[in-house]
Amino acid sequence: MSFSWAKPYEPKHSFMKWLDERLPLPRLVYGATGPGYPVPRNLNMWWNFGVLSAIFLGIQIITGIVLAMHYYATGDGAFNSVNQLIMRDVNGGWFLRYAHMNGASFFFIVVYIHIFRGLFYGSYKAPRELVWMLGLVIYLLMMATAFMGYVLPWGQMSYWGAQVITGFFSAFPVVGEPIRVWLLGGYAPDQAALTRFFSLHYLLPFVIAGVVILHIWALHIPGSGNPTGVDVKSEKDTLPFHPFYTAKDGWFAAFFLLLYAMVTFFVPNYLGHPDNYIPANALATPAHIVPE
Amino acid sequence: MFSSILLLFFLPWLDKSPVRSGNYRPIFKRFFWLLVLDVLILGFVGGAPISPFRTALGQIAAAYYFLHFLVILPLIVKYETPLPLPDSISSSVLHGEAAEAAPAGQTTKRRGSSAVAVAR
Repeated sequence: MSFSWAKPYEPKHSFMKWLDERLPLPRLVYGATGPGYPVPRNLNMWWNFGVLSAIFLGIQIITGIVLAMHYYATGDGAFNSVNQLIMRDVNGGWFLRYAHMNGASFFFIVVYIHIFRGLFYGSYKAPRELVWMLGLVIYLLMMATAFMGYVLPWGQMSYWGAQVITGFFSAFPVVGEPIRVWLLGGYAPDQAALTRFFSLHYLLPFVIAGVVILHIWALHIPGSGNPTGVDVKSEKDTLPFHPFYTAKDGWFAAFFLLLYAMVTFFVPNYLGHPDNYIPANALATPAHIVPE
Repeated sequence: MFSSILLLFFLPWLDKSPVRSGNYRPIFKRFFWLLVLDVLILGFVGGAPISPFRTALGQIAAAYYFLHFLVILPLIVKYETPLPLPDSISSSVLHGEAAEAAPAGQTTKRRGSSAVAVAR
């Protein structure tokens, strides 16, 4: 896409040729993540975290869609649909729920490493300012999505987390409190808040996926940065994305997903808070109200 | 809270150093790790039960976060002398025929086009 020596896409099979003339989707993939995208040859392991973030977004969307099939977004039913129906009655429901819960935590870990990689190697500098800004937009959307997801099980930490986090908005002078009431649909978290959080928690991941496409698009114009920060000057400086970086990213993804699997299967509640296994109670504030 | 992320949108114009990589910026590199430590402290304080000490620690760490981006970064750009950059990506990773042909462990890496044999 970006360099003159990028390998052009040449469909071999007659069907691929036919498709390429009508809908050049394979050409797009070839040029973005295939041999047609030249990448600096000196990338270190910190450059694996971009692909890894995309993998976690995929895991969250897939597990989330299936969880939504069994979830009741009602003040009466939410807690039991998560803790009784999904955790005990649905086949493999416990796995989906734990994978989604820890997937969110690992998604953030991966994205933080990705952000600090950018901060250290100056990835925000020209000509990649928009890549950086789109990344920040993704990060903001992620925080909103994760917060609303945390409210859905309607346990004690969910309820009081919703109370505290929406309370941040009341810090704005004059307009703060009306904004908070408008966001919650009431003076305290209740049915109106729960239903809208569920609706938005389902919507925002797809918005994130859209911004991710823009993030990658903006990246592929100048091409990937590298640990020296020196611009690519000749063909000698790059390797085709496939097979070199598909292999490197793939290996690292397998390694990192192993850590994720270890937490998900052996200590699934380590990153959570025990109070969230108590149903939401508007009259009892938990001792340590700490949103993870 | 919102301003901490809003601030990052202006980062490309707060850090005007022509050198991208922290590997070639000795002062920036140290402050980078200080920022990492600062953010880890903020993360810990955010999750820990409230105490007067942790409240103060959180306030100081939050102030330092803004100080890093608004004051320290522009100052670093002004006073730092970056290390010499390699000529190209390939010259930073390839070390010439001598290095390629030498037995493993018999050469030391050096930024540039040649490698030096180690006398043992």
